[in-house]
Amino acid sequence: MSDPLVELEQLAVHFPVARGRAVRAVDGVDLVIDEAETLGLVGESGCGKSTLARATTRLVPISSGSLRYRGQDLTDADERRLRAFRRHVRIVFQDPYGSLNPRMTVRQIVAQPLEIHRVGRRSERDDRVRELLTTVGLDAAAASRYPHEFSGGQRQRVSIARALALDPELLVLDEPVSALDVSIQAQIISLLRRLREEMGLSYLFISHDLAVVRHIADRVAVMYLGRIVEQGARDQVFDRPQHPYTRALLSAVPDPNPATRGETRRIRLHGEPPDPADPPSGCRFRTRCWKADDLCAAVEPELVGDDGHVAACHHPE
Amino acid sequence: MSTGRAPVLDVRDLTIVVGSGRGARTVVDDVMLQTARGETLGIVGESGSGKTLTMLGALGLLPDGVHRQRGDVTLGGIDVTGAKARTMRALRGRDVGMIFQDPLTSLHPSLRICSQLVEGLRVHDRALTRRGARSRAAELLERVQVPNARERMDDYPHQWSGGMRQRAMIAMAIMHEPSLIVADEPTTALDVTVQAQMLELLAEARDESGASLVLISHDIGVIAQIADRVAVMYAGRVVERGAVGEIFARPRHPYTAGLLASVPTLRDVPGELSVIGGQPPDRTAVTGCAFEPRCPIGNGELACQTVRPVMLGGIHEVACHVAQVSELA
Repeated sequence: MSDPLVELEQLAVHFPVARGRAVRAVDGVDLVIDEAETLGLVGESGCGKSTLARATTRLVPISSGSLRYRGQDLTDADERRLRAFRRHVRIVFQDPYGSLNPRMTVRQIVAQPLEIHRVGRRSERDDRVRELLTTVGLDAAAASRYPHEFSGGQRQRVSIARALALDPELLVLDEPVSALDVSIQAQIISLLRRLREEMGLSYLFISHDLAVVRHIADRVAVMYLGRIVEQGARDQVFDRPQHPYTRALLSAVPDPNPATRGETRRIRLHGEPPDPADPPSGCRFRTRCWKADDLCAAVEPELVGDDGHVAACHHPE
Repeated sequence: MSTGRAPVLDVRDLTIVVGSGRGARTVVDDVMLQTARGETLGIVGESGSGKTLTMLGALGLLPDGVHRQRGDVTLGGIDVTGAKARTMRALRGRDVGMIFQDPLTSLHPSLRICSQLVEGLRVHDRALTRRGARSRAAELLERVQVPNARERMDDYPHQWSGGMRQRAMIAMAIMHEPSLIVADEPTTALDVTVQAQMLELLAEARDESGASLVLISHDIGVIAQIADRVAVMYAGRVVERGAVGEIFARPRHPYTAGLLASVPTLRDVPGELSVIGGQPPDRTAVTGCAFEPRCPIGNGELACQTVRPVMLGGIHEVACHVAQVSELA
């Protein structure tokens, strides 16, 4: 079998804080993203999912473990060696207000990656910008306008057009719809689904919203306090969750339908995630888990399971 | 006003305008809202729909450049539209508790949590000693389930997590036993597991005090979970109103129906998300229905373009020409 597109092995990103301590934002993650596949990554704030997005795109230094792209180890590669990787792996951020330069026109914003990578002549670049804007559902006339003239949803379309400029293979989407209104959110999700089909793209789709992830991901990984606690095909994770944390997350999603509301029993987690600079011993979830016992405090569980569905828990469902 | 049936908050024909002269635009248009004791009213709508401005307008808290053009508001039977700023402040302080999305904007960053609660308690109860207020503050924090409240109450806001800060906000909102609690996107910045805890806490606060709770949110799931009645807002107007179970099960306005269908849930078929095209306008329509350009049924209809729809129906009201037509058919 050919190499996967991206492969993370025991990847860790630690940020040093005072007195020799370190925030272990990402602490030993194994992930694989195949060609034309969407991997959904879910977790709550502070679990390390955004840091993992930045490590996967080599925007933060990797403390240990490895990042491979098409079989090539890029963990410590310099910018010259990263050149092809930077073309083919692009990131889209949550905040469509903060991630577009307000002093640049949409044409300049979308053409910037082309200029940096010296693709085409100016007139060719202009044509490409028009084509990209049409692809993401914007009017080609939008090119001469500035970001502030657009709504949040339109700005996110501009960000996506910019990310597509260099014909990428993988888009890392970090909470791409979280700042948008519900009706706009549905528009962007359906745009992303269409682009994926038309261009054969892979996505690493990061979100705290499980219902959104269920609508776009082929496979799902659940992250808690720097670690993946469960991973599997979408239906495996959503229909047969094994890790107590996944079950709690799923049960906490509010159901808008009055007819089915109340069918799932709410699992009440007490407290909030612990400090990632000082994670609990053994299983990191044990301080909030209703199943935790002495074994959980003593031994850190490994990701185990079959048929591609794995969970790190001593007492799985 | 001890009849019990009288609404705690009664808003009639509230119209709010941003700017003045030729640049003026109507952002809240003829809004009617009533809430009773012990009841939760959900106001749902997307950004710019006027849901927050409606409540700020009702409570006399509109920012500069935004003003109430007309409308009557009573709070506990007292007319507040003509009230002086000083009277309003006293009324709000005692009778209204407010909770906002981001607790950091409401908590002073360089004052200890405890001092902020003590100050709030003593402003409206001059007889309360500092020590008495401190012990009352601790009770309040315990009531909203802040862990180790007595040890942690001398912390500064940045030392608390988002969920704990939101608990402190709830404690401040309920400290004078208000008759009305207004929560504007109280769970939006929180994680799902913490969000669920917070909604339970709000419902408890409402039940214990018998207060009326107004919950403003863009999140239909949150509204469905806690509200008894709901008002759906679009472009400054209430377009549909009624019991939450009824409206979410049988929406009559095409906007409500489209909004409900575009919310991803854990139950629908993955990938089948319905999409409302276009985007919400930033002001209300001068003539006709503001949703007409995006409406799958009424788009292009003369009545929808030219005649302003009025709220019709008994316990399930809707302001829509095409919904009324289909109802007759």
